[in-house]
Amino acid sequence: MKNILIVATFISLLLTPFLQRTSAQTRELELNKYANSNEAIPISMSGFSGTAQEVLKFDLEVHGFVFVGNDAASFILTGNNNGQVEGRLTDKNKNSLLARAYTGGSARSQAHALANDVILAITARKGITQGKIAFRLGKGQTSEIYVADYDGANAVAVTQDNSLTAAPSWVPGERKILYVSYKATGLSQILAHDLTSGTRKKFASYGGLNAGPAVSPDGRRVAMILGKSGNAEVYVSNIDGSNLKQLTNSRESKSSPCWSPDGREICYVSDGGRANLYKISAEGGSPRRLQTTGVGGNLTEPDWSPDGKMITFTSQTGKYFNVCVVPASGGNATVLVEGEDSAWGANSRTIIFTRRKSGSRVLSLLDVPTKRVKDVTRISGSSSQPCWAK
Amino acid sequence: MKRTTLLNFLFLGLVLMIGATACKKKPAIITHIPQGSRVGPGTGATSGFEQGVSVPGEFAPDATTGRIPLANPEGIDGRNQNRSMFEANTVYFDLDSASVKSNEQSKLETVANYFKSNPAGDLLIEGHCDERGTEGYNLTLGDRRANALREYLVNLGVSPERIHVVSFGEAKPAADGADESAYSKNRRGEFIFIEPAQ
Repeated sequence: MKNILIVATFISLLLTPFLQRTSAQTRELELNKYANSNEAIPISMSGFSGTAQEVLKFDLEVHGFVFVGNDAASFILTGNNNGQVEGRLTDKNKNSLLARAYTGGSARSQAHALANDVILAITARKGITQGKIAFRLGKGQTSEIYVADYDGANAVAVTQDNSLTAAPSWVPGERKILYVSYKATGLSQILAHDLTSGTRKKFASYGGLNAGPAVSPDGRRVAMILGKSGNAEVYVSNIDGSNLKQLTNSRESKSSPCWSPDGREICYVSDGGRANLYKISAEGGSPRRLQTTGVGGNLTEPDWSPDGKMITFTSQTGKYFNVCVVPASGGNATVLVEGEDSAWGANSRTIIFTRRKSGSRVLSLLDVPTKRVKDVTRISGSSSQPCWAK
Repeated sequence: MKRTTLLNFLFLGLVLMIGATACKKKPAIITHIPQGSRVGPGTGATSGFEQGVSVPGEFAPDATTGRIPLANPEGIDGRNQNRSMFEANTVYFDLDSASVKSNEQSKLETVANYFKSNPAGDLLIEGHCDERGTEGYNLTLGDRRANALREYLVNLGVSPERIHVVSFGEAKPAADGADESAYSKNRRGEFIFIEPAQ
């Protein structure tokens, strides 16, 4: 009998690692299921209130989660925000995935931090809940540049020019943005605005169009549209405006340049009767048309995903605008949702874009795999041209 | 040998003096030669002259695009912009088009005639669009419209360096509303007179 016990114990000891691995593997499978899934992720949440609850709900919904009861949930988030935000995340089999308390900052920022951890634990990809955006806020025939949290909270006016101001582009890694202003002369200029000191200086003010500034991912160069040749063409300069080089030269009008994440290529719009997307080396050379099979109309406003895989753009037919995606190397394009001027978040999953809504414009967030959309409702007024802080 | 050097020296001095006098007196009227046009005899020229030569320069049309470069806009900084002078000459465009329609051409002739007979003052052309286009696209379309009007005026004989352009895309509609009656008023090019510097 003793011998049998010893043998049983020995066998179970031998088996334990295998049993554990099996359990871990199940959990891994469950997690993997949501890492690259087009399905909404069912989660239940309890214990939070007020701002923390509101922020968690918004953040998780933006990232493809759907709130359900405990029975239907694949994941269960419990916690509280009595004093500080605390959260515990388990899968449906009560395996603990996360248990963390947050200190410092506001309840809002603590809730964003918890949401990011939940998103990372389940989708194996960092969320963009702590992202910031710059955008244009229209007011009659004028507009100003604002910066805000990605959900529209903490919005601050960067300009108060009572003039037309547009097309913000963030300098990666710096508290600095470039945008187009008509304030000084009534003609367009590109300005560089330091958000810390509030000082700004003229970046480009050539004859004709000065538009569409786009800072390279390494922050060292700027692509832009200049009209000084009498035609809207793509140019590249250093971040201080020096070493200006014209990249394109053809009869078509160019607009909306954006950079590949490795900084080697620029994607832009060329319009010779119908607008299409083109790519060109950032050093110059021959432009190549980006194949966008299956999507018609005028194709404008491309933006390259940070992982380099996809390009989002707007297709326009008549008064209808659609946010689309296509592999960065070209191929079959897909219409995602109605909207325009889309920009990839750092997770290469969330897109911020503009929706026309009863004579006004509203910023919206799109979860690409699940195609779920949430408006950034905390901003009042007609908002457009969103860009992410990078 | 010495005499030659002295003569040369005197001659050089004379040239410099004339040059200095000429520089002091700024000519009141500069005759602009539209680039790309032929400099030389026009129609009815005396026979025996060959066709004149074209003078390539800063404002010569680009070989590939045919477009005429724009002057640096610094020259119009701080000068008064008169919006009413050519108000009646606002040119309207078809949807998604930058072509000058035949029924709009007389407005351009009026503007061109003014600038050809008045050497003082410059012109700013504003290009505008209706809201049916993305904001980035419309900015470029407004630029195309302004440049189409500019090129038309240059072809009528207005100097290219006197004409500046700006595009507002769809940001400054002339009429509110989301129907064709508003849209048709918004697809336009406006002429703003830049008064001479005080």
